[in-house]
Amino acid sequence: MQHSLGWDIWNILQPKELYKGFLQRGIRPNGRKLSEYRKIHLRKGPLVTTVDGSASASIGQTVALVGIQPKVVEWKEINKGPVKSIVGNFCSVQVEFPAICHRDMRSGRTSEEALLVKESLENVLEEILVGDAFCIVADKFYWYLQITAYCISFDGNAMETFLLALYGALLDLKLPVLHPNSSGDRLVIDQSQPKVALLMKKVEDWPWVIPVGIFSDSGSEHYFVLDLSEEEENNVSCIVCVWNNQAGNKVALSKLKFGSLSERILQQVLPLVKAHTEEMIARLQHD
Amino acid sequence: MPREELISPDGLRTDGRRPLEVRKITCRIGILPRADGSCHLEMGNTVVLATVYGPRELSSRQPFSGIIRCEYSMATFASTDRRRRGKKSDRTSVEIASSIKKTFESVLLTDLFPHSRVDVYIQVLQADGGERSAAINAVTIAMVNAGIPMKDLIISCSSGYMENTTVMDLNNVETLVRGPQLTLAIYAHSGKVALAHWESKAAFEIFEHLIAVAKEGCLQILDVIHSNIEKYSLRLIASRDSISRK
Repeated sequence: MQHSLGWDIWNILQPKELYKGFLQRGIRPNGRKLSEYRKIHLRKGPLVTTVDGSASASIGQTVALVGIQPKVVEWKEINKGPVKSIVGNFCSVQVEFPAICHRDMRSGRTSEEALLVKESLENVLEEILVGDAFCIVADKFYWYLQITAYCISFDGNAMETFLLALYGALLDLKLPVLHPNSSGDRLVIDQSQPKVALLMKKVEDWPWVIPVGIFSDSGSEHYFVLDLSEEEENNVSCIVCVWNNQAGNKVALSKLKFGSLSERILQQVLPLVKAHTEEMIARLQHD
Repeated sequence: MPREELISPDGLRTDGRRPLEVRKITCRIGILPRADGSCHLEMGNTVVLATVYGPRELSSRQPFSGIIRCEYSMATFASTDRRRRGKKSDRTSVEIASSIKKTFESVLLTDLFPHSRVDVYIQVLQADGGERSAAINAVTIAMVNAGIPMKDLIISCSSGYMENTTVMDLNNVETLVRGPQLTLAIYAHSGKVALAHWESKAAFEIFEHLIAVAKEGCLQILDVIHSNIEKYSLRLIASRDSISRK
């Protein structure tokens, strides 16, 4: 008598085989197509009293919350390092995956994922922020942004969720207008003027990252999957982050999980990536 | 710094409330799908997120009844004054976590989940006074959402004494004054005290006043929380009906 085991048992015994069977039919176990994204939601300004810019973004069940607190610093005479970088001098990024986000993650230990996301966010900030925008009084007072990002719930694809939340928070950020007082050693908030947004490069030029999971089986067949959930992140053999902007003229790659990669696969992936980037930047501008 | 008056001549507080009024409470239950129980609670401008995982397996050999583990942390952007740079073992956080743990140990039916543990994680997203109370209330709701058996609900409220008036549900400005303050947690149906956290010195009559006022505040909060839980449960039942009817 032939018994057929349920799919949840197959999922424990041989998850990759099960997954491959679905991919061959061009669909994922929960019915999503291979390049289809889960429900994306961005909410600007959920925190009002203690932060000046905040956003909470969710892709499927992964939720990220970013808060930006601006502070005023007095410029020290020494320029640290040969190149005046924006991130070290004008803003700091802190990424945390606290214990509430995931069943198995224990708090107190900075996971690799957090470090990777932090690096990516810092790179992005270097690209989109303009150094001159932080100056209040030249050579004396500057803005310093403290950016804190928390993952409230984790179900794969943290990189994009954090990026979306960061962009939302930057667009939501409103800085008060400051004037130096008569003796020049303090700053006074000008209550009459409304708060202004920070000057940044225009939204169309902002880079976007898309992690692509590549499932390769015995070298011959390749399937690429966008927007991986946590289970899928364990099953695919290689995850590549493709960075590009809306115009499509700047592309970069970085690997999240090692595996084999070939140019042919990348050529197939790029059009999907471009289409998705355009969609996300358009959403940012209209929301 | 000039001392602003905390209670105006009309009897209104800094945020426009009367002395015996609690702040507006909004709660969203079950917002994190991956957690067994979760609650996002706003008491005025204090926003707290509590998640409950469990009961789950315990690795070490513990004697029979279940245990509770609690972690409390305040987000870096939660308050404008003190800067907390990722230090989990901040003394206040550890103290609040252990007091919440003890409070809930008394109310959970730990015999019903032996050799297991329940993990409670609390994250304060915005701090405007009364974080301890908000945390306890949020954990209660999250426990209900997770379906962990409890003897009773625990509801908490703070109260303080300033300028010859007892006030209910302190906000940040009133907390910073460092006058006599009490955070009280009661069992909802029996009205007995589960937790009392007292700051500063005061005469005994004032202490009695504060307990009475805090209890009154807890009952007001209980009304709101109870109706929210009821609404949520009815919604769940209604959605289940609509599925089975197909």
